[in-house]
Amino acid sequence: MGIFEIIDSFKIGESGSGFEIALSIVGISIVFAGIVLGLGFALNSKKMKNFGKEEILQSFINAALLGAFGLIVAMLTTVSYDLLPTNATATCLSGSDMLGWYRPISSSYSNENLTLASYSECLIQNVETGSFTFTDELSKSIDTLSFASDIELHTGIVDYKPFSGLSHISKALSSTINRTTLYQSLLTANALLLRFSYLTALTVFLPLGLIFRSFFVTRKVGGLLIAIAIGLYIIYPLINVVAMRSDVDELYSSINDITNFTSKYYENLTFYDLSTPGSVSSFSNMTSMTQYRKDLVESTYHLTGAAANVEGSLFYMSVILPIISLFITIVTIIQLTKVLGAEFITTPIEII
Amino acid sequence: MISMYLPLVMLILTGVFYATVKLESKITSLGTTLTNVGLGLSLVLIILAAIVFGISQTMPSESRGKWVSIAVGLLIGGVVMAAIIGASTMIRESAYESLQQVGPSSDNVPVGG
Repeated sequence: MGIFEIIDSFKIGESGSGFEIALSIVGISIVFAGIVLGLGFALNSKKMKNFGKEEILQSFINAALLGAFGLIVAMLTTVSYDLLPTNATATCLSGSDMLGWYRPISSSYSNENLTLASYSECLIQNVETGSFTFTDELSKSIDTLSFASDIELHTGIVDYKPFSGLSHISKALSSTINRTTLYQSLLTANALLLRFSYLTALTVFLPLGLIFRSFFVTRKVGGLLIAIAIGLYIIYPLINVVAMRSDVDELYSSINDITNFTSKYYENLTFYDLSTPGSVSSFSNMTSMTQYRKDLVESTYHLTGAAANVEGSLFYMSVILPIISLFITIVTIIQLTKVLGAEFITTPIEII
Repeated sequence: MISMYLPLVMLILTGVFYATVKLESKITSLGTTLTNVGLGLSLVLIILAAIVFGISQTMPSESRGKWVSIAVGLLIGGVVMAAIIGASTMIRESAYESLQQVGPSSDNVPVGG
């Protein structure tokens, strides 16, 4: 039996070979503890007696945890679902294979497959979609501003470039697009991490943690794996959901401002189409030109503000938020590993 | 640099996966061996306790108490060892089933992938 078959047997749930192996290890632990305890009495060694008692207790707990595996999984899934916002939907997910294997079958949830991690990934996908719209609309805006800044009017007496000042803004917005590409990469990485969370936390880390925790030599590794499973399945996505939910609406509001700009100027610049006779006629008098210029500059002011808002939101969601979430998750995992009987990873963290 | 260590890593990984192939039978045989060793050891301790107790009776009264206490310790050790090893299956099963009854029946058993 390979290691993957052992893990797979936990997905099936009952009487798989993974359970049998873990239970055999627990049995060996009890026998071993009995021998040590007996020798402790025989040799009158306090250390051996305490070790034996501790091992028997731990073996009992491990066997109970194995017996409650289905219950633990169901409990984590339910907690994960209950922590979701009430209006959460799984509309961004497609295909039941994306949603993980573990869920309570008899639940009456409308979105029973939804977990914190999958919903969090859904939110990030929405942000990514928004960021793609943002770069698309911003490119159009830059195109509009660049074109407008290059326009020259020859009145016969003077040559005049009425929108030349906009060239600086279009350059600044171009650099925004470069940075947004980086944010999109980071968002994709975060979404992949969340997908990894809900596909592996309960199907790989938790079963392996229970198996490793069954034997005293690997107990610390087992405790660490169980803590990682809880951290990945509950804590990391929870921080993401709580911190991101309200910001997605604001992000889309700012993107709408940019869309309004492009729909007004990119699509409707009358002097764009120079092949159309009379297309420049609207600027035949300086009054209409002045008004147009005023409108464009004001709209550009709103455009830069909206672009800054979107960039700030993307920076927060792709850089600051994952760092905060990871930090909180790591701290939680450290505390849980202590509770579960492992403390060896705290040393390097404490040094940091 | 990495290519230098790649064969070694491959060898270790192959070893690990080969080792897991017969994991189940190895664990079972280890458990059986350990049980036999433990039961034998408990028998030895009980017999040893009897011998030490017998020897203690030949000792003068001022040192007899020391020998008797050693004999009692050996006896308790042997009995505890035998009792725990004998009851290990029962302890394991009762612990395994202890939390199962808390759950909301088999509805929460994970769905097969």
